[in-house]
Amino acid sequence: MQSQGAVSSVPQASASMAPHRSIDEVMKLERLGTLYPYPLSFMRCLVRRLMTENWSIHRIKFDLDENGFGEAVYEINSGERIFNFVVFSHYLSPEERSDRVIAEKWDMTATLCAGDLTEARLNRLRANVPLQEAGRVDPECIVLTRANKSGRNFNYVVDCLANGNQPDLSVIAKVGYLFRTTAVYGSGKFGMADWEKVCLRYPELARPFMAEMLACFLIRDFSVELTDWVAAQKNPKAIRLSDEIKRYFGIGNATGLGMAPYLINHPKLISNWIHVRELALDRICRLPTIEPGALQAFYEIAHKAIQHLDEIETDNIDQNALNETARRETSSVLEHLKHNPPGNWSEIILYAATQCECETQELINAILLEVHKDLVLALEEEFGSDETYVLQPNMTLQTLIKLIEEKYDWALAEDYSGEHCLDTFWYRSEEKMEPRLGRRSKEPGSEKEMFLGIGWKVKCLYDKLADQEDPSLSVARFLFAHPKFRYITRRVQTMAQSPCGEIRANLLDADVLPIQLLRCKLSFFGVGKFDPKSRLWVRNTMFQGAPLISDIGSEFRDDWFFPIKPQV
Amino acid sequence: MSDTITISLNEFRALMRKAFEGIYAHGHDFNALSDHVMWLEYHGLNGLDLFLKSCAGLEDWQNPVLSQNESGDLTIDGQGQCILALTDIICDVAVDQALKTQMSIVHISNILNPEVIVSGLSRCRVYGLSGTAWWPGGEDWGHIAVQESDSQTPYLCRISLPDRFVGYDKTTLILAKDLSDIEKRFPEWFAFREGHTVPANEINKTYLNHLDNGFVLSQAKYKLLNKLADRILVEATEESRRGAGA
Repeated sequence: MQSQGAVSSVPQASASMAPHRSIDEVMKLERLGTLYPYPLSFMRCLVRRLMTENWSIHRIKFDLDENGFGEAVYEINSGERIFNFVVFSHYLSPEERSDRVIAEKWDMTATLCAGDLTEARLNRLRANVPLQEAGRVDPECIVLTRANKSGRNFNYVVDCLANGNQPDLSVIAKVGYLFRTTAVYGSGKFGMADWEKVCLRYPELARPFMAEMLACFLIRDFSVELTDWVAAQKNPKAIRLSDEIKRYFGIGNATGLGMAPYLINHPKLISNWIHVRELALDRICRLPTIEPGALQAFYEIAHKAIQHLDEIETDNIDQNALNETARRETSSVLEHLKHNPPGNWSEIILYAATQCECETQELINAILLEVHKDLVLALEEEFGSDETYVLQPNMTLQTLIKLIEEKYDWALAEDYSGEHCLDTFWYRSEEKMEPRLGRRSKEPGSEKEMFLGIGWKVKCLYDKLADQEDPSLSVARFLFAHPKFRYITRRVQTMAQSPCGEIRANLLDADVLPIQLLRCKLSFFGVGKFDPKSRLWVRNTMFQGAPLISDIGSEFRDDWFFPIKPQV
Repeated sequence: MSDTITISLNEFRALMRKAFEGIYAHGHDFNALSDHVMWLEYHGLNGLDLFLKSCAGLEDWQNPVLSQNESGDLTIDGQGQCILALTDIICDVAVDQALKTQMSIVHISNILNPEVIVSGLSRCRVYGLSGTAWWPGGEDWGHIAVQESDSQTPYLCRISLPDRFVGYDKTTLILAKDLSDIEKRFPEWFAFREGHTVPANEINKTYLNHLDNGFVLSQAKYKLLNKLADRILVEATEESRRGAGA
């Protein structure tokens, strides 16, 4: 079976990890939870593609009433074929507005689809897209999504425009978006096209989460255009949002536990994502010298990153502390470099590794990846992975034991004896199958837990193997008697070849921080401005600073990372 | 409301995984089990019907019994169960043996739904092996499936049973590095092919059709499948809502 991003496979080699750190260090959950977006993050890849391949995107229908309720259709021409993005804008009372998966109504709902938009099909979409999970769409639909207005920003911006003023940047910077997505579904959900079909029939979208990112990009456009529209209906003399401010608006996103299991259930894919990033860093570290222009770029991007962090406003004390640390320590690194010009990039990375917190180290890495984008982009085609986990039935138990000791030493080293060590269980609720965390010692339902405690499962397998009398027995014979270990065995055997796939953490610990899993995945999406609302969910901003649809065809510099307030 | 519903293959996959998880919790390789059902269904071999008819029996798991005779042939007593939950572990021992000794012969008795073995057989190519499986259909006829190591899917034939196999009630799985080795040793099985052959490319076409247009099933089956999948869901309480960050 294949999953998102299954385009090609990249050779897995531990030798090409960045030299300054081990795989175990890279794969620690605490570190993965500090990753920043980089040039191969999926949003960046999408925008680069739209701009460099000159995709044509037009609003062919914008049929809204004076309150902005109605329908809109975008036509997207990739050069190969035409897709449509069909939007339904609805009235939603404030008390019904919720980011939770269990919500049943939204301000807007939409689908990205291939195929002709006949009236009959539009009617079916009208009847089903607004229902989201409760509806059914057709096999030419690729993404189903919804979004809610930002309670703080939308009406404020409309009022400003209606009164002839551009909104105050310091007000909109607090949120950074007008609409916030609460779910973006693809990969065959609710009757849509399977990922395999996308690869086969719509290859221009066959990159990791490209269709989903495109849908979010289009919601962002709809959000700014809708704001202009509603303001104009309120006052015919209303002004339009300036393009600079439109670019500064991203699209908000609320992400909860639903995203976490993906990282555990697709270890080969994750291994490739991480490996490609490390490979890019490795290439940078191996550059013998630093060109003066590159050092200057490093300074400029670092200053922009510091300002970006400085402009983030969140109520979360821990996130504020992380941002503050990254800001302060990055400034210190710059100061150090002034007095100690580095001979190569490894020196900077090593300096950060010894003097800075994890958060700052990863920020420095992200900056370096921007400085040497040329080296990074060469790896863009390497993201895919086939997701087969093949059992090696003729392996002896002795060899399997050795394999676990070598490759899963982190799982064996974990202490599972304390009460808190296995107290968390992950499960799906009967409410829209929402993933949730429970306390094994206090709550019912642990017998239905999801298979996410990989470290613990490996430890159980290891203990069972150690009990076997004949270590020369084959894995096949062992599993014939103990079929419950078959999945974890083939996973161990497969992942032994893909060093970066397993997250080194006990996800069953009472103190596990799922938010770190979320941030890891979101960083690969290209998300910034993390605003954690608890250890279980986070708000964030997508596409802030990115070009607008109307910018396609203009000069493109691919420098919209670390977005900062525009000079207006 | 229509009597049928169209679902994507991924939805089908997810439902099957959850259904198996609901039946076995983590007691079996539920991803692999669901792959078998889907493989059969994708390739026109009615995996879903087979699963739905068998699922009550699947819950009552009995460990199969494996033995080996002097000539090295393996014999498996399936304890009267549907072969679905056994297919992987049967194929694993067959692959293990074939990789060690060039050819493995596995006789499987006392099982239901022997046709599921085709899905297991199709995986032998991953190990560079070819193979064949045959199983009885009636007193004097049966089925044969042949998977060549360089082919994506097996082909199926209905056969008249060779004389000495009339009344034969076992399913036999044979794997080898080279298919010709199997043909040489069991020429009678390959000589008796007749009508109703389903070639590999036909099997593949069914898959592509499902991929393009979705998989159509009756509302009744869909509901039944969902009911099984829903067994993994945990009741919602105020406390559980806090477990989602509420």
